[in-house]
Amino acid sequence: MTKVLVVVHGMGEHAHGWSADVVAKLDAVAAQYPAFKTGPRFSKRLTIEEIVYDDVFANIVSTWNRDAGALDAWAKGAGRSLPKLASWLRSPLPADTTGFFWTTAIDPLLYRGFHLVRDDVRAQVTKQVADIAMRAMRAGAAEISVLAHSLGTAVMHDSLDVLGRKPFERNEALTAARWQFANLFMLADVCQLARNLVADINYFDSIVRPTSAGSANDTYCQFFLNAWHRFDPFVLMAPFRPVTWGDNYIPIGPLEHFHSANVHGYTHYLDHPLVHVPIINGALGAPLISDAEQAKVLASYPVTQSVGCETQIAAVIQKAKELANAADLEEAVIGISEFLAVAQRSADACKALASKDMFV
Amino acid sequence: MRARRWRARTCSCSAALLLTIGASAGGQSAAFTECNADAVGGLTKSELGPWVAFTPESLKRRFEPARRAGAWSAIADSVAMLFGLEARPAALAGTPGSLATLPDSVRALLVAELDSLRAELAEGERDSVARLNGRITTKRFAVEPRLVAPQRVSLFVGRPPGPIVISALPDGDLRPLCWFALTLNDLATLYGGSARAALAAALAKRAARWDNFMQHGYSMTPLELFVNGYMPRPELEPPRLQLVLFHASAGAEMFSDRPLAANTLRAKPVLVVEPVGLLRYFGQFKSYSGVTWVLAFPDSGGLATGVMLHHSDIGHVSYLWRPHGEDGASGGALLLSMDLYRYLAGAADKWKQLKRESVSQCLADAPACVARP
Repeated sequence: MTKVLVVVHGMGEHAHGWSADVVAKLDAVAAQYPAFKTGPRFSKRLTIEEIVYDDVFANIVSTWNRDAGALDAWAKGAGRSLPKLASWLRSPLPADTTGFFWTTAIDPLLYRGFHLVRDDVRAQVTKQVADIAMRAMRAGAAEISVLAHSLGTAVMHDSLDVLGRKPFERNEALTAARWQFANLFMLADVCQLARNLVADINYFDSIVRPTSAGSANDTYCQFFLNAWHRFDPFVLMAPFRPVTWGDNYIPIGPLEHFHSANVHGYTHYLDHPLVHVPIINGALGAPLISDAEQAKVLASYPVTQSVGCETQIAAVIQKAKELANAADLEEAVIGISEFLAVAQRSADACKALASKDMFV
Repeated sequence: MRARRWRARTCSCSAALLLTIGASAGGQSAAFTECNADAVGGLTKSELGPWVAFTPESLKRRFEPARRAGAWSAIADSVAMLFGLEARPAALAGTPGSLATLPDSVRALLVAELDSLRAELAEGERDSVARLNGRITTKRFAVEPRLVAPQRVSLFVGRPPGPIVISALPDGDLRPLCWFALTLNDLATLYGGSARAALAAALAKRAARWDNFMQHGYSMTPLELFVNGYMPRPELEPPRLQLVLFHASAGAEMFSDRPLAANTLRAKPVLVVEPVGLLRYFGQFKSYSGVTWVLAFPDSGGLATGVMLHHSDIGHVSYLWRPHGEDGASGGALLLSMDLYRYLAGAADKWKQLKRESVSQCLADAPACVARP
């Protein structure tokens, strides 16, 4: 049976081929376990498909020409002044901080703030998912799992809801009543971020839930995994913690490892055995890594490998706590930029906290 | 007796598989193996023994001609007979292990779901539109392997009065039940192929409409991008009507103080502000046209105001009124986008060239030219 893992990116710049670092990470962590000591590596045992939606944001940002004035004009015209953001952008900021704003933090602002952008993203993603499903099931049944991170979790909550909630042009092929995903793996789920700006989907009650949360007709996946980190400011700002979804909802957290200055990073999440073991087993549909093997790796998994980086870790935690208290999307966007800049500076100052894929 | 004999065989032949997937021993692990199409596909002929003709893959191949003939519900009937869920003719050899040995409650669930599947397949045989619209519950026979504690393998989760917890059944029941489910899962999936292709094509068209609107439509300032999100439109479609609001643009335009004298058009830097206007998109959003109120500020001669007509393929043209022209007198003015000017100039040049060629042909052979109808 064809097994597919659909990987979905988060905030930031992601061109086609962006998933190479994520796939390499999955291969590397899988290689620790006996089932992968021989035979094909993880990514060769299934089909990896990637979703790309960043081009929608990139096109708009390029027309705005990274102009704080354009952003301010929009905000005022829309009757929702962004004085904090506008004045922050006009203040003398370090280049890395403004860089993170225009390349990364602006994505949730565009996605949550503009209905046309949001719907364009949803249309592009539903099209890609339908293409993947069509290809995967050409020769028979397939198990399709989704691995999403950060803003990608919100995008997938939304896109899958519009894909599966009702027929499109009377076509029911991929509606929740007719078909389902095997697993949805959500890392740093931010679907609740700026929820007040897009009230069209109730994430606790949408179809994007596991079968144990409802009936076969109104649920879209067999299992839903939700992993979060204690110091990940993005998930702390707007926690998503369903409590009535039954035992096919698998919460994993709070994680506390500190192997990278960017604790929000895609690969930083995947590094943890509590996260990657259910993803590897679930995506391959078999208990390839046993509980005992996972426990053995966990026992020797350090909270941090970064001896001598205590000052930098403290700085990251401090910034994360500040961001967790963001009052609105405006403060959140500022905080995201500043947090990522602090993470970058911490990694620069203490190389043990750095990795080439920390901002994937 | 038959079931017990087969159970012993399963335990011995699946030992290698259990090692392969790294699972702990026990009936639960056997359920993971028997319900995993890849693990089943990895069994050798000798391991399969009398089951060799009844793997999901073998049955998929066996029924290919019937699928080609569109006899989908007949395939479901045959599968039910092969696995002993329904009585079969004496001449038809069935699976070595049978669903007939399952508890009545489990068989009742299987029969009910099979009947529903058959009804959906039969509907598609009667009405091809039903099939093309994806009216098949592909996930009906999808096995659910729970890989985190408490581990279990289930069928019909969320389908009252289900589910069937496969991993709680005796070993001898696992193979017929798992392979029956895998076979029907394949059948329903293959039946739905044309609907998925149709859906993918329809969604690709929608995505293309967005590409056309966002990348090739009339550009939007951040304010317009925001406001047009509230224009009436079908769910997840771009708006047919685009509001132009305080749209400012600057650049070279063809401008003339005397609108009826085309040869006075000159390229000039002009700041154009469109306070309000409306555009309508056509078809797949590849083209639009509309009208806006325009304020133009040429680099000399003061403000002009008027109406601008837009068309996506050729550009825009405005008839303007200038209270104070370059010579101080009021009057009309004409503004053309460079695109439109090039289009018109190109058409005029082409006409001139055709005329020139025609005249020279006539001069070369005047009698023939005069005689030409």
